[in-house]
Amino acid sequence: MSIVEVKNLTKVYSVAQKQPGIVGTLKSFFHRQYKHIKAVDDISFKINEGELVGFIGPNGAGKTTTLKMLSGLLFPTSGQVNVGGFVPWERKSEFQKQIAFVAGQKNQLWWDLPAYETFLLNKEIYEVPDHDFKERLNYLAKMLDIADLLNTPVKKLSLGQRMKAELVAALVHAPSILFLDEPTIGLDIIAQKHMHDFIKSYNSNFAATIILTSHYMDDVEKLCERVIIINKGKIVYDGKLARIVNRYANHKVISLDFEKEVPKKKLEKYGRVISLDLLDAKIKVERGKVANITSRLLKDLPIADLSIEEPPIEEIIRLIFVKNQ
Amino acid sequence: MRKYLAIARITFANLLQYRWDFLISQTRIILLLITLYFLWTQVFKTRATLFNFNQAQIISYIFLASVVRQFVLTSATDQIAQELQSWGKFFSYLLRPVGYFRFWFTVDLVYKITSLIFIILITSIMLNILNITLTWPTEIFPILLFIVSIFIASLIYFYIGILVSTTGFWTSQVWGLQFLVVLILEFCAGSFFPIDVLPANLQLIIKLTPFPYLLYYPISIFLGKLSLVESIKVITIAILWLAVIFIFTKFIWNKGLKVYEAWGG
Repeated sequence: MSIVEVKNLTKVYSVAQKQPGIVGTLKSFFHRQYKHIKAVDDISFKINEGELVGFIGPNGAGKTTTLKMLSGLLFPTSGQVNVGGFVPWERKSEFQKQIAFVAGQKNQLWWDLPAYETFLLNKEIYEVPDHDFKERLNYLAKMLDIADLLNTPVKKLSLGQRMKAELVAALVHAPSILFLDEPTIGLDIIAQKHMHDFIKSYNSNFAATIILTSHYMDDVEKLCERVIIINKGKIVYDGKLARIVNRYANHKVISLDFEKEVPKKKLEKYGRVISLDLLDAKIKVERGKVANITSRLLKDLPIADLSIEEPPIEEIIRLIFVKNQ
Repeated sequence: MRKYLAIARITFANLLQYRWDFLISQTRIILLLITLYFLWTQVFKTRATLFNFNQAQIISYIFLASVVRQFVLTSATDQIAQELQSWGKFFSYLLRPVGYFRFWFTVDLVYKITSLIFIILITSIMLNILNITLTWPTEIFPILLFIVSIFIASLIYFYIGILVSTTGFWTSQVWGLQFLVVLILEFCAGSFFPIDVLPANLQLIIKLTPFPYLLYYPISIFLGKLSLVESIKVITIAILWLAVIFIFTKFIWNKGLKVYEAWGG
């Protein structure tokens, strides 16, 4: 069932060290010292066919390194990976025809030519039959709304348009496994929304397995049911996104609208006051006491409106990272 | 096969985008040819032969050299250095079912054929205007061996070009090195005059390098300067050079790939 299997995967980079200045340069030229950095540290996970999984973590957490190993761009230092029945870094063409790797800041399109030329090139490189190519291109161009841009030189496209064209170029061979590295980086809100819609529908229409990394919690919240949170090369959490909240957030936020001003001192009896601004207030309350405190609030204070909110996921994830420092 | 045709097609489309750039760079060779032609006709005004060459042979040499040069020494491999610096594009080759060297050899062939057609056009016009007839071989074997040697020379230059570009794995300042290599290489290959013109000691040294196998020897075969046995000997040595350069380039390339991996990100 699982299409991606990762077992005890580790990647250590050897980075040459150099002291500043001319002396340092000479020293490092004759006797180079290396620092070993564990970018990915003994991680294991499985991903089932058709899953859409989000890989999140701060810069340098090892997300991209993991994706590179899964797509065959990097050799691991140790551990095993099986993607669609292949060992990725052997770079067999049957494997390469199954996958696609799209990175927000990398491009494969020919800069001076219309994007269509690159699509044609990829069609032949991946040996896609004419009929399939036409059908696919029609579908993708329509989904991404770039049909009228196919004959414009790539250098004249906007970033958002170019990202869409990059996606089409990466998908003409109908890959069943997609690696998306920061697919929405630098895009405006509308382009971001288009990208979300597209990724979601590609996942459901083709039962494609998609693994994406992102800095934006928005991407992950909109797209992924399951997330793998990685920090300093280790997996800190692997599971349903919704469950993070229950597991890690031990409090909720109660938002209040008052009919009359209420002094801060009075509010502090119920929970920690996050904000108080004339008639609006937010207080943080322990999870188990929410019901009790809510009823007390309603009884004691002149309340016009009250709502109970989960803390934002971003904050919870930040808490997880801080905890693992 | 269709893969490589598609690569050739997109390369040609890209080349057309730069047609003016391309044409202007080709005019350089016209000026060079005119200069060399008048220089050598002046030299032969006072003598009949020079270093085993008569006037007709040396004029044939410079015209042939410029035609062969536009085929053998035209390459797109200098672009690899830039590509290695912008990782994104290089990435996409490692992900796709296509060989990187094969891809670039196809691109190279398109560049070579385009500039060959152009130079043949130019030289035939010039030969007509200046009323020159080239020395042609009377037998078939020099022509065949010439074609074989040109093919080997193209491969040697292809791998030299990749080798130079491979420095792009380590540094973004490749242009200077590329320029220097081309300068030395053109001189030693016999682009502007036959190597016979140089002092004996220098000739000896140059003949120990792979460079004369790029232009000087193939043209010598064509002009009938070498016997059949000598020609075959020269081609054998060229093949050995090709093997050495290929293995060395591959070795350095693999080292470069390791560096690339270490960059991470």
